[in-house]
Amino acid sequence: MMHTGLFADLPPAARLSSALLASRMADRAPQGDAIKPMMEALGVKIAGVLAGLNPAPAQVTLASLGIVTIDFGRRQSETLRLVSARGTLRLRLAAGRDLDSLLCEAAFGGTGQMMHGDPALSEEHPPSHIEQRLRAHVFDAVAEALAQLLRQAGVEDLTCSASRDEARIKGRSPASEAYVARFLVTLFALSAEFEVQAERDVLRDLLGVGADHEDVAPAHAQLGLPGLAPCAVELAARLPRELMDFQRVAALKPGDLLELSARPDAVVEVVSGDRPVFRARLVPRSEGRLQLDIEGAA
Amino acid sequence: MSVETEAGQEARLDLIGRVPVTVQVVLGSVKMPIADLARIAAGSSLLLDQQLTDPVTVLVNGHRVALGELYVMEGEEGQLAVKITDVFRPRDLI
Repeated sequence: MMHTGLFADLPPAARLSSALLASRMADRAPQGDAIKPMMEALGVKIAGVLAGLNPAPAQVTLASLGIVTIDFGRRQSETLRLVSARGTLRLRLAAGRDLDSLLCEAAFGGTGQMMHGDPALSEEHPPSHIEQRLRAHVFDAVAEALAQLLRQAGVEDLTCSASRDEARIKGRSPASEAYVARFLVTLFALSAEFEVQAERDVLRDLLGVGADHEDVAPAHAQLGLPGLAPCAVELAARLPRELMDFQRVAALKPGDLLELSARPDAVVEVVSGDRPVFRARLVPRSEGRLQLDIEGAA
Repeated sequence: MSVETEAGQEARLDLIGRVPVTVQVVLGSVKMPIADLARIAAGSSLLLDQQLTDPVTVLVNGHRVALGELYVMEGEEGQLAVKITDVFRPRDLI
């Protein structure tokens, strides 16, 4: 049961750290960045949603865990879109067993003991899909809260997409850093990590912050025909071109070592088709993926 | 029709063999909506679909000729190198 009144009337125990946002991009964000207070307000809303799940006023403690840059390729199942003429914002809540337990405790007014040691609630014997329904409920509430905050910030044409078409939204957005607001929610004896992801560039576009000139439209809005925006292009990263004798490459066979003059920190050429579009540096990521840090146009 | 001498043929092959060609190694790629492409600027990051250990493609004058693994050579310079794992035959390229 949802107590919507608690959205505006949080229990005193709901607290939010002021140091909500920090990322490796933070030093590039303008001081007056409107994203930070908006995400802080979203944190308060989340506390309200969690508190509102419980018939009795619950002790909800909310602390920020900071912001990290995320790989959108790891996007998981529950994602919802907020669509505006200025961009599409994607949200995802962390959904795990800890959060499920916490939500069940919140909904049924437990003491933090119910989910522990009960064989009926083990992975092999799931009691029901109540956790999924609760998660969906919280997810919708948080998405609506963010939409409401964005509207208050002046984003008038924002709509929640009813569709959760994963095929359409699963794609990574490699061009965009992400703000990931991570909260540690403690309720009764349980804690769970709660995460809201939002693409940094889209947020900034939506809020109209960070532009050098206020009358300059976001880059993707200057493309012209709006229907072309989803058209996909393929970018390839190539090491610098090298000249070699034909006989050297003609004799190549498996096992041969083709020595290059480029070093690992070489400037990489990013091409679309055969046309160079960017210069970049290669950055190996901890999980083994290759990342390119763009230095500028080719 | 003149008959090419063996020495003449060798000279010709040697000449062809010394013709410079452009070699380039493709590390990987990523697909994205053109709207995202428009947002890329200095400071942006692109995450390629490939792992560091995935095969790279060797292009010669823009044509794919081989696959290989990327290595860093030992020594002070630490240049990159590609250990060839597969060579494309003409029918692979069709």
